[in-house]
Amino acid sequence: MRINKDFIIAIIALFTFTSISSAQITNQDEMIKRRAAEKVAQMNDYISFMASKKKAYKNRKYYSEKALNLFIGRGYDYEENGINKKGVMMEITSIRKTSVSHKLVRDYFNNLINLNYSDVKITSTEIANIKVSNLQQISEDTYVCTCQYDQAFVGYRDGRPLYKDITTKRIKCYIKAEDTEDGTEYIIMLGDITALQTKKL
Amino acid sequence: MKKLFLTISFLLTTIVVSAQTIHWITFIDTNDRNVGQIDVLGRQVLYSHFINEVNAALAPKGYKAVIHDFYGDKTTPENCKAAVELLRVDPRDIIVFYYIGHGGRPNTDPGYMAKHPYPQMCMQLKFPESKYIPLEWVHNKLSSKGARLSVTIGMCCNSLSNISIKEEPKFAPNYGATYMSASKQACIQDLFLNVKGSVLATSASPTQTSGCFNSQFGVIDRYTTILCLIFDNALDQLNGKLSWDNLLNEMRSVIHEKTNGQQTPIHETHLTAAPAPQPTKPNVPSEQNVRKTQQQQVQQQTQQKGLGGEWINDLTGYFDALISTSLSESERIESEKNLRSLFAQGAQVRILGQDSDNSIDREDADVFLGRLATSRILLKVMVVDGTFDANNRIKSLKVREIYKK
Repeated sequence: MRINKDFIIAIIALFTFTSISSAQITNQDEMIKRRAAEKVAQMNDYISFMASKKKAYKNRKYYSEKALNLFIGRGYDYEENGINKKGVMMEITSIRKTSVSHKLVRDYFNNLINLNYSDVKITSTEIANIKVSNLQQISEDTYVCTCQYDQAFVGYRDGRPLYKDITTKRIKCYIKAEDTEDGTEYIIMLGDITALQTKKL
Repeated sequence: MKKLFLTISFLLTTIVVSAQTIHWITFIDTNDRNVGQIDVLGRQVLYSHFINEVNAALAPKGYKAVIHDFYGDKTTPENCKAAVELLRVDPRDIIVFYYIGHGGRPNTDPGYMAKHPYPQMCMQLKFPESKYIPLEWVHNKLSSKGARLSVTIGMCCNSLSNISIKEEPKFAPNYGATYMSASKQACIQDLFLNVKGSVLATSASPTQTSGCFNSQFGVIDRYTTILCLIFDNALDQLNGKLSWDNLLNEMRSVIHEKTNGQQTPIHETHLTAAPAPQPTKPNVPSEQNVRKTQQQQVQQQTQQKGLGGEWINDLTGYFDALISTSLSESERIESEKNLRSLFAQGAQVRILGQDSDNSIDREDADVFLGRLATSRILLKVMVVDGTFDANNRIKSLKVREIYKK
């Protein structure tokens, strides 16, 4: 298999236009945005695992504990703008209901493990296609961004799909900056998840 | 003499490793007062965009990466000779030798030149001429070891006398390459696992110098840049198929064209198609293995930092097992518990950007280990550096991560 000639031309162009490329990519924000997307992809992988009835119940519980580590306050109390919050919230929608409900993410995970289907398949946007917004500074040491992705849900009963939907979701990500001896270090944590749109699959 | 003995002892202990391994031997001249800083960047780019990616693609096939990374004062003819001669391999193993530094060739008649077109490596330019090492010698030695594939690449001048003068370095990091598609992974596996034999390549034809240019990575040698750019950008388009001849021919044509024939890389391949070896399970970090690594941490304590080849390779190997979906969930969770004993209470793990030494995220070690043991989207976690506390447990660790796309 030969390497695409267009690509070779692009490489040759890099010899000439390197200064433009450098300007486009020398941005620490881009790395942090990618990291946020990695954390969101990890959360989605956990969700897929927790929902799957093919996995051992004990392991699904274990994974739900690990999934909480991704969130601000590890899924429990945290403070934002001087307001104490009980934990990160998940917005839940269904094509069968017009109303939207909200659950603490730790309760949502618990429900996910105990869904009343014989099996559940949840798939999400792959990591490279998660849309990440620009970072916004909200306090001296904290930035936020949002990641947007689609999540498809299929609930089975006796091997047949009983319920299917696809929801576009948006999750808030917190980036805490800390000055250390080695320079600025960051800690990236996930926050509230909102459902933008739910459709039939 | 004592120093040489210690080096050889170190090599002897580190080079005997278990089967199904990709052995990297890199010699990079980062000390030279003219090109040292350029080659510091070259080393960083080579590891981020080529070596780490190959390791990530081969890890799911059960390949453990063992890295012998010689740079700075360690880039010596003695170390090179010892590393090549003392390397022990299994028939399923792969060896890759990559040199970045000064090179040259004897002023001989055209007949000799045609027969021996590859350069000699002039490490650090401070050793007597008698200690220059022919790239062909490295190739011949490595390809006779019995590994299924050996690749020898020299990025250096191949000129009769003058060594090229390079520009001042300018660092411009690329933040890419944290994700790898299944197609790219298949391509790298095809390149390394579906052939047997040897490859010998160098960055310039006889009498030519090897140049640098201001690339997106900063000022770096052309040859390594093109190799890394192909790995970064072209592999997704190739439907999982890539041969050494195609790769090296494309590198040659790009560099030849852009330098108006001033630099034309050369290579030879001696390869036959071969089925890929059966994937093997990674070595599970058992309590016994982890205790052995803990003893190495005691030895490393004297150095303040954990920059030791064997320790880094062991820990990276354990992380291979921890993220491996070929192990059962219970095995991974059990490994996570065993590995906790290596870390101090409150230990921190910093995740670095691909081309940067800056931390982009930080986690408690227990959170980090728990994430690795339960993730199904991680492809590779490379240990970069670490420090220990007074009880010889890891106090801080720096890693890089590659994800499935």
